[in-house]
Amino acid sequence: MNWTRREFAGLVAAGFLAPSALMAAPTVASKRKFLFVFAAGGWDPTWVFAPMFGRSGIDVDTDSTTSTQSGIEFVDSQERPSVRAFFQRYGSRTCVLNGMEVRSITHDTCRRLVLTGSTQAQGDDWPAILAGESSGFTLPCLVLSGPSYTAKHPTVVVRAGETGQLSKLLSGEALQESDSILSGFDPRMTDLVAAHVNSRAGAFAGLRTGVGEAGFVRDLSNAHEQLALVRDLPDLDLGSVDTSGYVPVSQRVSPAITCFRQGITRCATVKHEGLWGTGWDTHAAIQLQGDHYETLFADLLLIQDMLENTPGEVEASLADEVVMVVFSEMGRTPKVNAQGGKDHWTDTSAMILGPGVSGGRVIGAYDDVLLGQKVDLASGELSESGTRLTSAHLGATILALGDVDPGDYLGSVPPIGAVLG
Amino acid sequence: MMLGWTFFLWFGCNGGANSPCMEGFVRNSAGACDRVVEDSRVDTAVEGDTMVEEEPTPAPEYVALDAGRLLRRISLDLRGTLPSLSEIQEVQTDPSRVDVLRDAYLEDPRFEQRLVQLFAEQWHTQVDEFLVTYREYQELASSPGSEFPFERAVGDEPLRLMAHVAANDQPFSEILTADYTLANEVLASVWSLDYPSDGEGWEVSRYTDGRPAAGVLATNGLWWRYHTTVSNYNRGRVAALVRLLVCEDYLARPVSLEEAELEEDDEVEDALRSNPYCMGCHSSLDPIASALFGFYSLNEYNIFEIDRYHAEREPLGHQLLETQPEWFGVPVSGLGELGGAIAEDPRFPRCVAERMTKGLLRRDVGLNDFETIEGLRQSFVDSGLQLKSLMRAITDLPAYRAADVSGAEVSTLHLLGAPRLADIVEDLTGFRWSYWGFDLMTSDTTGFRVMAGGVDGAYVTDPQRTPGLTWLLVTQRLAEAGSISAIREFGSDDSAFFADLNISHSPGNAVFEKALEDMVLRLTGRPLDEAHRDSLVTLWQAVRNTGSAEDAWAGVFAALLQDPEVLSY
Repeated sequence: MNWTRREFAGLVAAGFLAPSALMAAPTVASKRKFLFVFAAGGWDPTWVFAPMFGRSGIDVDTDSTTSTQSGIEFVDSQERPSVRAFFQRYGSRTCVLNGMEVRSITHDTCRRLVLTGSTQAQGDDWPAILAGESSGFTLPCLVLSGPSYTAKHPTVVVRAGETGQLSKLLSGEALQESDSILSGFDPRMTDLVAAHVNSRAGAFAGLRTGVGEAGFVRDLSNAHEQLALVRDLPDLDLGSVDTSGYVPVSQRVSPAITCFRQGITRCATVKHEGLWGTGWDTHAAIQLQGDHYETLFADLLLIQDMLENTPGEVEASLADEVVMVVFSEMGRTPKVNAQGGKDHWTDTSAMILGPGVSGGRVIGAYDDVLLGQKVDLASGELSESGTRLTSAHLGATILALGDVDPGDYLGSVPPIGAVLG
Repeated sequence: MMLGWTFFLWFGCNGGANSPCMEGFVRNSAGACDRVVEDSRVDTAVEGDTMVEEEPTPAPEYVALDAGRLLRRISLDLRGTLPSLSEIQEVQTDPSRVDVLRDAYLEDPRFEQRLVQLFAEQWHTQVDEFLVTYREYQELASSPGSEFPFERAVGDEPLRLMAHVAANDQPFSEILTADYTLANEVLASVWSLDYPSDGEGWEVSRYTDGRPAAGVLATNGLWWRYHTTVSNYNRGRVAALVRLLVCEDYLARPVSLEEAELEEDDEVEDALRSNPYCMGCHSSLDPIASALFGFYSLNEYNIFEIDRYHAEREPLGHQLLETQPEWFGVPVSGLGELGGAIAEDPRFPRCVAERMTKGLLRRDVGLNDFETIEGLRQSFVDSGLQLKSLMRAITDLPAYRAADVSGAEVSTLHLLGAPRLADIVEDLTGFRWSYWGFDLMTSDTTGFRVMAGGVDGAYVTDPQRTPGLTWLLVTQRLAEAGSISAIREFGSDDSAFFADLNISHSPGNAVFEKALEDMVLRLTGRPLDEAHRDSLVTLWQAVRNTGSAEDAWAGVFAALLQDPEVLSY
C-alpha cells in the first residue's frame, strides 16, 4: 500500500501531523527551509544521544554521566560543555531519534540509505525532494559539501563547491584563479554572448523535440532560466572559503544562511568532519568521538545563533523558518575493538530541531546490544507492537515537516507522528 | 575466552538466501534465485517490499543519427575529442566511412586516455584525497605543486593498467593477471618500482617488493582507494572487487542485525562462520578476503605499511578468517591465482560488457537490456576478450547510434561534461584550466569537476546526464577562457580556426564566411544553417561595434563553445 495524499491528509486531520497553524511556530510547512548537517564517517550515539551506562555489552565513555536538559536526556561530560549548552538553549526545540536502523554497515551504502531510505541508484535524497517539490527558489537545494543524490530533481541541486567555487564562477573570479592570467570578457561582451547562447538554447529546444531528447532539453532550459534568475539577484554573496587552514562548519554554512535569508534556497547540506576535519570514522581511539561531538555542538550553537539573529523571510528570525537535521550515516559497535576504536554499526541516532518539531523529546531507544527498540510512531513511546525506526521513517518525517507527501517517495512508510507534534 | 560483543568491522551478513546468484539468475523477494526470463522486456520494479513484474514493453524503435553527428559521438566516446573537419566532410560525402573512421579511432593514441576516463567513472579511484598525502613522502613534501599530480597518479594507476591492456590488444583478462603495472615519474619517485630510467609519463613498470602477478589486484592505487582497517580484514575490499569485476553487489543487500538474532554473548567472528544469516554473504566473501592479506596493513595511515606488499602476512588470511582463499568456491593459492580465477568466472566478461555499455550509452543497464548484453558478452568472448572488439560492437548498436527513440524512456542526447569538456577546449584552443598544479576540471577541492558534471569517486559516483546550473556556469567560464586563449593566435598559421583571418575580413567576405562554416561544422558535426549563421553574424557585429575584430571573433567562438549542439552529443 502506498501512503496516499488522502491518507496523509487524514493523518493531519487526526492530529498525528499537526497542520502548521496548530504548531508553536507559525511558519507554514510548505515555507519551511531545511539545513542538513551530516556528520561524515559514523558517530557513536552512546557518547551523547543515548546514555547506555551499566550495560555489560556496551562500552561507554566512563568519564560522563546522564543529564537531562529541557526534556532531553543525554550523555553529559565536562569535556563537552557545548553539548550541555546546546541542550540547555535548544533542547526544548529539539527531538532526538534513537535506535534508527540504517540496514548496512558500509559508508557509501549507509550514506545513500540515510538520505534516500533506499539503496536504489536512481533515488532522490530528502533535500532534493523537498527542493524539487517546492517552487520559487532560485537555488533550491544548495550543497555546500557532503553527499547529494538526485534523479527525479536534478536541476534543483546546486553545488556551491567546498571552497566557494560557485561564487567565483558567478563573479568571474574563477578565471583569475588560473595559471594562465585571464581577465575574462568585459560585462557588455559577456551579456552579448549570454543573450546569443540563450537564444540558441531556445532554438535548440524547438528543434529537439524527440522523446529521447526531452529530458536534456527540459533541464537545459531550466538551467538557463535559473542562471538568469541568479544573475538578477541583487546582493547574492556566497563568499569563498579560505583553503589555507581548517574552516569550521559554522563558517561554511554562511552562504546557506545568506540564501535562506534571501528566500532563494529551501535546503542546504553541509558535511561535518569532526575535530579539525579528521572525520568521525573512529576505528581506533574512540575517545575522539567526544572531541568530535564537542566540535559539532559548538558549531551547532553558532549556527543556531546565526539563525536566531538573521531576519527570516516570513518570521522575525530564520530560527523559526529553518529546520535543522543533524545526522550521520551509521552508528558504531557496542564494544571497543582491539585498536581502541569502534567499528560500523547498523543502528544510529539523528536530531531534528526547529519549527514544526515537537521539542524536548527523545524518541526511540537502544536495547542491550545497541539495536533499536520498537516505537509507537504516533505517541513516540516504546512499544512491543510498535515499529522499528529506519532511515525511511526519518525521511518521511522530514518530508512531512516540509509539506511533501512521503507516500510519493516512500510508499507505505509513514512519518513519525510524534516528532511532528 | 568469551569476548562478548568485541566487534570487528565485519562485513554485514544478511541471510543465506542472499549470496549472489549465478549468471542468468536474479534474486527474488523470497531470497531464492530465479532464472532470468527469456523475454528480457519483462521488467521488475520494487514497490514497497515486493518485487513486481511489469507488463512487457514493446521493443524500442530508434531514429538514427546523421553521419556527421554519429561520427562526432563516436569520436567523443573513443578519443574524447571532436573529429577533424576533413573527417566530418568525409562522412558527409560517404556515410559508410563512419565505420572505417571508428576503427581508426580505436587505434588512435588518445583512445587509451579516453579509456582511463571511462574506467574512472565506474572504478572511482580518481578521488581527491587518500588516507595519506604527498607530504608523507620526502621526495614530494617540499613541493606543494606535487599534491594534485600525486593524488591523480595514485588513482590513475589501476585505470592506466586496464587502458594499456585494452589499447594494446591484450585479452582484457590480463587486467587480472599482468605481472606489471603502469607508473609515471611521480609514482616511480616514491614507490618501489623498476620504472625505466629514461621513462617519460606512464610506462609499464614492475613493483620490486615481490608482490604476485595479479594485474589491477596488485596495484597500490586500487587498494589505496578501497582501503581496509585492521579489523575489517579486507572484507570491504572484496565487496568492491565483486562489484567492479563481476557486477554483483553485496552492499545493495539490507543488513538487519536483529534478523541475525545475535545474543549479547555471541562472538561475532564465530557468528560469521556459523549463523546462516551471516553466512549468506560471508561464506563467499571471507575466502576472497583471505587472499588479500599481502595488502593488509597494520596502520592505514602509514606509508611504510600501505605502499608495499607484505608477503609475510599472506598466511594471516587463514589464521584470522579461518578460511582458505577461494573465489566463489574455486580454491586459489593466494592473490597470484585469484586474478586468474576471476578471469575464468563467466560473470567477468558479462560484467565488462555491462560496464562498457553503460559508459557508452550514458545510462544504467537493466533487465530490459539482457539480450543486448548477452549478445555483447558472447562477441566479447569470441574475440578473445578484446575490449576494442566489444566497444566496436557497442558502437554498432542501434541504441548507440540513435538520435531519438520511441517505445522506451531512455535518453538519446548526452551531456558533454567534465573531463571531456576540458580536453575538447584544450584541443581546440590550447587552454587548460589549472591553478597551483591542480587541474581544475578534473578535481574538486578548488576545482569544478563535479560542478561540471563529473564524478568525484566518493560522493558523486555517476556522471551528470542532463544540464544543470553549475554545469552551465562552468561551461560559460571555460568557453570564455578558451576563446581568449584561442584568439591570441588570431591570424597565426598555428591557429586551428583563425589562421586565414585578418582584421579586414567581415561578414559577406568569403574568408569570413568560410571560417564561420568550418567552425560550426567542426564543433557540431553539422553544416551551418542560415538562421544560425545570421545570429552569429549579429553577435560578431555587435561586439565589433565596440571592440576589435579579435574581440568579435572571441565572442563568436565563446558562444559556439557554449552552444547546446556543441555541449551535447
